Amino acid sequence: MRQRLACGWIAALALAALAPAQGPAEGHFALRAGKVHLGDGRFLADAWIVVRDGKIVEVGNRSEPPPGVPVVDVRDKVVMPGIVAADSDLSGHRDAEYNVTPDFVALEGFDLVRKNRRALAGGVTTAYLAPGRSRLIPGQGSVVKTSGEEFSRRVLAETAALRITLGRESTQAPALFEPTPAPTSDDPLLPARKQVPTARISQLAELLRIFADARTSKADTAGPGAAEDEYAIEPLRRVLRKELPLRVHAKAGADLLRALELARRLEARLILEDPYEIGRVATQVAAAKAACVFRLPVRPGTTNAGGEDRFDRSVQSSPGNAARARAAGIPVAITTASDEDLEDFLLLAAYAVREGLSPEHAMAAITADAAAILGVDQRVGTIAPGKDADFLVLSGEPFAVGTLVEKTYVDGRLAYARESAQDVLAVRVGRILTGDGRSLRNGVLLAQGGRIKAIGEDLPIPFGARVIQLPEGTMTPGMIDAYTHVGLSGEGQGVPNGQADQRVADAVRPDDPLLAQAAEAGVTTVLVSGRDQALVSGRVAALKTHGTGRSHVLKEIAGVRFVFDGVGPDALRPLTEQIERGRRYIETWQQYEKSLVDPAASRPVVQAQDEARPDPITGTWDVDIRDLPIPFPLQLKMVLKLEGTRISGTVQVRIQGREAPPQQVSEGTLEGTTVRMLFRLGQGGDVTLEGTVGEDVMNGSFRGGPFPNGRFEARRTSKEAGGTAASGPRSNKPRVDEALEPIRALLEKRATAVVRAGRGPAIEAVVQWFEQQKLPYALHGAADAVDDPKLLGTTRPAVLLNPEVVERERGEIVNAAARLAEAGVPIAITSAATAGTRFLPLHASHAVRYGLAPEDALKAVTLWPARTFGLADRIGTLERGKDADFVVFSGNPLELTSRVLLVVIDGKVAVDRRTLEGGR
Amino acid sequence: MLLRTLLGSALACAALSSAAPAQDALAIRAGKVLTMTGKDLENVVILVENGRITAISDEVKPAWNAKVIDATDKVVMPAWVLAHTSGGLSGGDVENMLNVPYLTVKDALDPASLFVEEALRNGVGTFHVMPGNRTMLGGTGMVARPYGKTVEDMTVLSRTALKLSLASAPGQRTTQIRRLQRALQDVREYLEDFERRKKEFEEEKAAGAAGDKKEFGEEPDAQKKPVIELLQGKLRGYLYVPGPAEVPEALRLANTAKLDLVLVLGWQCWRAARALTNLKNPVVLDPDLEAYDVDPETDTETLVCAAAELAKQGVPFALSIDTGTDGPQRFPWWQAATLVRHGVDRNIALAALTTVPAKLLGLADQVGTVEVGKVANLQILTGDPLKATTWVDQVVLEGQLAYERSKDRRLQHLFGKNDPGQAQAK
Repeated sequence: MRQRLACGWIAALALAALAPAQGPAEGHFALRAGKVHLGDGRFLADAWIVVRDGKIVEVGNRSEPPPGVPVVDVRDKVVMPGIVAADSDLSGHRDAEYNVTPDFVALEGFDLVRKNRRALAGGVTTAYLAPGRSRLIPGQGSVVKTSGEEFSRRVLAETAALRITLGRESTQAPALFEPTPAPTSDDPLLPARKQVPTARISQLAELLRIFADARTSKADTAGPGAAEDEYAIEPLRRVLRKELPLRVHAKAGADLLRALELARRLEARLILEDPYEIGRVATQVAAAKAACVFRLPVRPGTTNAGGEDRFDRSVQSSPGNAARARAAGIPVAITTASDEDLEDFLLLAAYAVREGLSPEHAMAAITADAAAILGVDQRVGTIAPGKDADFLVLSGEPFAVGTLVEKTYVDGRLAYARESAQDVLAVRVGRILTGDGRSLRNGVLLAQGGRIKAIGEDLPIPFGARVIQLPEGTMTPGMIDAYTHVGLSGEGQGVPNGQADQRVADAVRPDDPLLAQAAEAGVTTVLVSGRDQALVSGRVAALKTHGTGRSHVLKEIAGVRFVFDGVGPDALRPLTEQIERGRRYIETWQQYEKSLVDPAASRPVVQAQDEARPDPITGTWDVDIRDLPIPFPLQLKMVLKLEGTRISGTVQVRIQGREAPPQQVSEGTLEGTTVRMLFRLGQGGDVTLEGTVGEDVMNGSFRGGPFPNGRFEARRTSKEAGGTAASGPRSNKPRVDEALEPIRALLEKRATAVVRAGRGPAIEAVVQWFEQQKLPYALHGAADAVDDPKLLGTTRPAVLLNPEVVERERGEIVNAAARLAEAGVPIAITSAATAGTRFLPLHASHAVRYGLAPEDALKAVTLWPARTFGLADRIGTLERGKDADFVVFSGNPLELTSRVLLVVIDGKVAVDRRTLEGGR
Repeated sequence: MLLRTLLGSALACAALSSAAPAQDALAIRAGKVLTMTGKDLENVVILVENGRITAISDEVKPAWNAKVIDATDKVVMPAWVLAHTSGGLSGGDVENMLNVPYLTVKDALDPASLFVEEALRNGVGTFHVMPGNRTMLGGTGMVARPYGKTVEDMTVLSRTALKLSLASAPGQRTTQIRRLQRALQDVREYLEDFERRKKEFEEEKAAGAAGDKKEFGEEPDAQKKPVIELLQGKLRGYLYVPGPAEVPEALRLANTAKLDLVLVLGWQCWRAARALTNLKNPVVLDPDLEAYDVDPETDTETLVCAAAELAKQGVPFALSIDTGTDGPQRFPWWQAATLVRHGVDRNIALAALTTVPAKLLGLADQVGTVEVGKVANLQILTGDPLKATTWVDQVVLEGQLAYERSKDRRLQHLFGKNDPGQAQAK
């Protein structure tokens, strides 16, 4: 009968085999792992597992792979047996109203089709299904695998234990009302029937009576629900025949002793399910050779209830119970408190270790011991020949916090594979110099989306990340060259002079081989500008040395270079004039922006136009330029328009009857009869016309462009407003003046002024003026300040230094970098070169050789230049959220014997020299 | 065998009671005939005498007294056969007591119900009425036709099968499975006890100890009779399987307990489609054919047609229709068309509402196809059955014109003079 009962379900399932037998390709393979935990506490290093037809046929070290078998190589991973969850509610069964239902089998309610992704993601390959929780005898638990197409193979034990509940819960069963549909005198309508026990005192007595009845019952047809019995007795008899263990849930110590008494009287094998007060009865339990299954009463990442009521005297579980039981020599299995935490099974097992369980015991408690307690250790729980091929591939050691289950094999079939983290680069090195003075041992940097996602010591590496291990290496932030011409190589004429209107960022091609060379040396950001030549020497663009399209542009205008070494009361005037022009330029933009927000702000301009006053400007003008030392007459044609005091319009150059394309008047004002206009003369540069206007005539001075000063005379030929002139409130958008954009960036504090000045008075004047104007600035050179840092004032602006930092003065070595750094001046060592940009690290080392502190030398090529150009929020140090720009050296970064092993720019590997032999 | 006997007598009765002298011959000139035998015919005449098809040919001439239906611009096909429905039961289809196998739908079928009227309007010729899906042992069903003023008029077969159900409240799946097992076991043991007593009596009688009693006068409990017959293999069971988790139990009942079961599958059962390939009988599908499948763990949604999934695994099935009065799932053609939309072969889709259920009901030699010798249950359509613009124009049941669209009062009320079907017919 027992055979029939046990096989009925399986037989039905076998007929319903869901899938054909696995093909040999899927069922036969060899896996090579860095470490294999066997489940019984032992492990093997660099071991092979050979799987055939869903079974493990070989485990151990091999010199070569088995012939003709596909190999899964996970040598950087850890393998352990599939986790056996010794308790779960996966059957989905809630308690029935009946208090005694020994015939209920948890498997019958289990959904064999459902995908248990959460369990598989947590590595749980085998689970015990609880038949119910709070009835006196809720039924029999089953053991199944969490994955598998073939129903019959998935069921490890149809009936694994008979569950009994002691304590308060099982006294709460509802009264049972089972009306007969057609009552007769033989089969009358009965009132609701109370279900015993209703108190603890009768629990043991009732259980013993039930088993005694089963022992003496004459019913031999022990199928489900024998008519003369209230319930099926066959499962009870199986307990008495020692074929089925008792699985008793009891919390309080007294109830646990009662459980031991019951098992002793029935001579049954006992498993205690979540005994809360195990600590009080551990010795008795150990003596009775009972096993324990604990549900760890902790839920990670969610509110853990309890203790809200001071008067709540109910028995509480403790996460240390498993350790206590184990210490008393009791076989222990641990599992999660809720099925929702199956995904974090390993994390909770690790928590049991924190609470005192040894890692070996914790490992056994979720694999080998758990399987033994459930009675399925013949098939699962350990990695050994003959066992089912249920095992996990982990990203690291099982109980490390960052370890995740990457693959779950059930019966040799890949039942779960974690989706890999997208686009994460993980670099592990011996030491990280973050650039802000910190040093991290065994540092790990994670880069994602071009930024630093995390940085720290021994960080867990997310699954699927591209991992680069350089345990001997030292990581520094990517180096920054604060003054270089790289990328601006001219064709035949060398690097061009810097001009304010040159769009440097656009001129540099990202595939310039010199950029790649700089990157290979560890320079990840360059501040590129043309040669210094005049007062305003042009823009400084911040560019990465690796990238495509415009992705390598970090900041289009990071700085403006000035050359200033004038001495005297009026020396600063050209500089201030430039700034003033910039200021006016900004005002036109501000006015325009205001008009966009508030149309009323632009109205006065329109009204001025409406006034019936004679307009002395608007119309077409012919201009003759005189007193120029050129052999041909230069003429201009101007189409102008007056709006209030603002003059707009176009200017066209005429030379010997030929006309150049019209240029916009970039600035034009009328104050009284004084006219001032500024425009670009083709490629000749800016031109200023200043003069007085009379009735349809205008004359005055002509300055700028490629010419010496001259004079102009103009006649108005028409009073019609030109069609090309900007007019109307909608089109009063100012023209972008490339020449003034850098000044604008400076005034808006988006860019830093770099003033090349060497002489003391010039330095003083610059410092004083910029401090007064509260504009970001730095000095370049500042030779006199090396001897007298006081020239730099109290705020200590940064100083950019050419490579020539070490000089000999009267036989004594003077290290400008060291001196300035010691005086508290942030310095930036630069290459001042084109191809020579790649020697920036060498210059820093050279300065160290002659006395610069190594820490300052590193800052001089990372943090300080980054701060100088307002880029410290992106580059300069290694911090979370900043750009993932870094260099890994084979040793100390300032030692020339160290090689550059790896350069990463914007999270992408720009240089990889790990495998290259020899230094460079 | 039992079915056959029942069937024969029922049909004989039906033929006798409905034989009207003026109407015993009918000829349909059909433009197109979907015979459901694998071959479609065009421009033929279907001759019907005494409720049966006597000839299908393009040559025969109808008898002088035959009523002739001109369907030369129409499509003729077998009237639909529904393998399982709870439609037409007045006062609810479910008893909330769990164990009531002695009930019969005959006591609840309402000939005047909207379902019956709609069924006829939609071309249904035969339908199998069963108790609802929620009662564990719900009673026996009957096969009816949607025509007649009394239940007796409508009856084609009575006491056809016992309805069983595995539907349960949340978390009570095991309980329901065990309840059903216990209920069956109770009857099994009652039967064993009854047989034992009968045998003892016979032995006593043989030994001459029976005294005055000549016969063992006891009959098995009438209330248990359908279950007894089910266990003895004399009565078929229709088992409602709400989801894939109950499929193993259904298979156990069918395979191990050796019950003659037809599985009525809830929508989700398609997940266990591969387990259903070795069944003795075709399955019957829920009216809800397609639904968004939400993965309980990843929350991803996919539109799945249960029938299409079963068809992929080669599981034979019959379709059913919604018993409500709104929604397109109450139309047989819509159900079939849904399958076609999901890539199921058109013939499989149509068979699921004609030949498959006919066979399931033991009426394979009577209904489900247009063949000589079969009962003349025909629907005359204005076009292809799976087209949304097609209307059922006329329905012939057992050789009698049971429905004419032109005389459908309700449609006339609904459409007034703008009847799209009539316009199309002209």
